[in-house]
Amino acid sequence: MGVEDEQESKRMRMNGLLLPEIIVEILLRSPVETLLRCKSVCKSWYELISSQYFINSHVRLWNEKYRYVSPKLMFNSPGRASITYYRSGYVRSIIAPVKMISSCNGLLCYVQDRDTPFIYNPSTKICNTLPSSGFSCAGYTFGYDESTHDYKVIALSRTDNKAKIYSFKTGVWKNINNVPHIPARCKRGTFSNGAFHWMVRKKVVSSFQLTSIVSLDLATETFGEVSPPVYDDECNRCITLGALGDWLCVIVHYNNNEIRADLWVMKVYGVNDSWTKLVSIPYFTHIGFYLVPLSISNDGKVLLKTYHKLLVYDSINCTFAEIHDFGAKFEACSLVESLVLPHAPLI
Amino acid sequence: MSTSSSSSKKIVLKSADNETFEIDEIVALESQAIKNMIEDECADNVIPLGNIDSKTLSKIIEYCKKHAESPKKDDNADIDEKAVEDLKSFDAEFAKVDMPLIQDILMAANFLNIDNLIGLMCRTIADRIKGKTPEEIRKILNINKNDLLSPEQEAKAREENSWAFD
Repeated sequence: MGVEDEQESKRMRMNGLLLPEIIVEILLRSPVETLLRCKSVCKSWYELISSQYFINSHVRLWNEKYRYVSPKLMFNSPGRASITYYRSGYVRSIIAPVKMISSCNGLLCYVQDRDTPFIYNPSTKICNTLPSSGFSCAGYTFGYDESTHDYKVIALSRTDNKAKIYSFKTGVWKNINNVPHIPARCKRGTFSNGAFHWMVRKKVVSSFQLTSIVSLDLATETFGEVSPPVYDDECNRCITLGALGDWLCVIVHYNNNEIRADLWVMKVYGVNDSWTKLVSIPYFTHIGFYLVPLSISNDGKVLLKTYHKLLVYDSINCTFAEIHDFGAKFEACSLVESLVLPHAPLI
Repeated sequence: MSTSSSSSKKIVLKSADNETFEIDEIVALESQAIKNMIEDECADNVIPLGNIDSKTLSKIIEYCKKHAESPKKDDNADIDEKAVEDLKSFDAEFAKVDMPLIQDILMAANFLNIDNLIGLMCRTIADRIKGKTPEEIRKILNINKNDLLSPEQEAKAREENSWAFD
C-alpha cells in the first residue's frame, strides 16, 4: 500500500501525463476503430489523429505490419453491390452495378456506370465520387505517389489508344501522351512500387505469351518497361499480373504435360535478377484458371482467388483448402485499415 | 554465450531511491543512452538515474538481461525460431503489470532510450485502450483536464464517427 501511495504521489509530481511523443507511438499502434473513438478523448488527440502526418505514418506502419497477411478482405459481386458509406453527416447507400478495381493504403477504388470511379475507405466509411473519365469503356488502375503524397487513377480507353490520369490534388482528368500499345484485354493494370503496370501479351497459336510489362511512373507520369521473369516453359496458357505486398508478381498458368501455375515475384523492384519463383501450384481438382494471389503468409500459404472460389494453397504440405464458394463470379481485394482520406486533404 | 559473468565488465546503476544495481555491461548496452555514456567515457563507476525508482529499474534490468542474452536478429539471418518464440512469450509475460507501472517503465525506457521496450509498452497500452470508451481512455491514461474538447466539439467528433461507437 505504501509503495502505491509513493507511486501515486510521484505521478502527481510528474503531472501524471505521458509525453506527447509517447502518445504518438501508442496511437500509431492502435487500429482505426480505436483511433476514431480516441478522437473524442481530448483536443490534442483529435488534432493529432486528424493530421496528415499521423495518417500517413499510421498507414505506413500498418502496411509494414501486414506485409504478408492483410487484415481485411473486401468482396464484390459485379452488378449486385450494396455499399453503405458516410459522408458529411449522413449515411448513404449505393445500390448500383459497380466494379471493384483495387486497393491502396486502405482505400478501395470502384467504378460505377462504366466511367465514374469512386474511392471508398471502408474503415472510416468515407467515400468520394470522382468526375467521369469520359471513356465509354476503359480499364482503370488506382495507386499512390509517395513523392507528392497524391493518389492517382488512370483510365486506358479500350476502344483506342487514349489514356487519362486523375489526381486527388489536381481534381481533374488529364490526357497522357505517347501511350504505348497495350492490347484491349490487358488495359486493367496493377499498382506496385509507385508505378502502374500492364502486361502486353502476344497470341501464339492457342496460347498467350507475356512479352513485356509496360509501366507508368506515378511521380513523373512517363511510361517505361519492366522485364518479365524468364520462365522455363514457353507453352504457357495464360499469364496474370498482380501485386503481393511490395512485390510485383506474375502467375504463369501451364496446361500442357502438367497442369500447374507458377507464382513469380520480383523481390527487388526494377532488378531483373530478383524475379523468384515462389511457389508452383498444382491442380488437384478442376478449380479453373485465372488464379489471382490475394495475400501470402510467411509460412508459405497463399490465398488465391479463382473464378468463383477463394482458396488457400499450403505450399509446404501441398494441400488446398476451400475458404468460400461464391457460386458466381466475384471480385476480391485485400486491404489494410487506414484513416487515409479518399480525397485531397482539405486545408 | 559467455557464462563467466564474473569476468565481464560491470556497471552500477543507482535508482532515485538510492538503491544500487550491479549489472553486466552487455545488459546495460541495451540502453542507447547508457551506451552513449559509456562510449563518451562519462560513465564513472556508478550511473545515477535520478528519475527512475528501484521498482521500475529492476523491471527494466529484467527486460534488458533477457534481451541481451537472446541472439540478435541481425547477427544471424536464420536465427532459430525457438529463440524468437521464447522472447515473444517473455515479452507477453513481462507486460502483464498494472497501468501505473507500465507508464513508469515507458517513461524510463524513453529516458534510457530502449527502443524495443518503448515499442512493447506502447503496444501494451494500445491493446488496453482497444474497445474502450473515450471516458475510460481518459481515466486509464490520466488525460489533462485542460485539454478536453468542448461539449460541441465532442458531439461533432462523435457524430463524425458515430458507427465506431456502436
